[in-house]
Amino acid sequence: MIIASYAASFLPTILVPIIGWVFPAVVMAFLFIYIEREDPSGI
Amino acid sequence: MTTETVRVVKPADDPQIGNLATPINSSPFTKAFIGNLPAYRAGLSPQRRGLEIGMAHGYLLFGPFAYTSQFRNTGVNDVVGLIEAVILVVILTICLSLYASVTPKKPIQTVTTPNTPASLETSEGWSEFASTFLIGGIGGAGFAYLLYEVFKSGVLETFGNLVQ
Repeated sequence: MIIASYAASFLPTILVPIIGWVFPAVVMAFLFIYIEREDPSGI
Repeated sequence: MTTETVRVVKPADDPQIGNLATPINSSPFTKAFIGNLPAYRAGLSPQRRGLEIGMAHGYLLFGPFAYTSQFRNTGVNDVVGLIEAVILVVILTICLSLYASVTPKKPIQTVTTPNTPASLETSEGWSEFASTFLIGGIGGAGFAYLLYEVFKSGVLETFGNLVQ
């Protein structure tokens, strides 16, 4: 896994897992809670 | 020569509802087996259910991770297997407590499982289940790791010479 020559080449190592793991987990957790919520606004 | 056919497939309860009781989902063996799984066994507290289910999952998860992780051919494949199994158990526990947080509904009753545990109809029941699932999962993975170390150490090879 070679660190590339462009500036701040450490960033992809951090951001790619965030977009690939953390972001989906947070969105899925929030949406699950939202779709299972009983009565968000009186419907 | 008339052969008398045995009707093994019957409507579950109301013939107008398309729900059949077949030998697969309602034979005595199936009912006994499914009914005695920790999830359905009667008279267990949610903690007790989570513990047993966690142990089973922790124990079974260690193997695949130890044998097929990226570190499988290195000296640390067993430790990596243990760590990955524990991480997955933690992820499963987070999902279980997420489920517990959204006021779970009553478990579905089927032909095979007519009476589902009452304690798994509430949030508290599921969060207790999730907490002991974590303990059981880590314990199960740890136990599998210890067993693996014992077998790997070769101490059991001394029993080989009984076979001459």
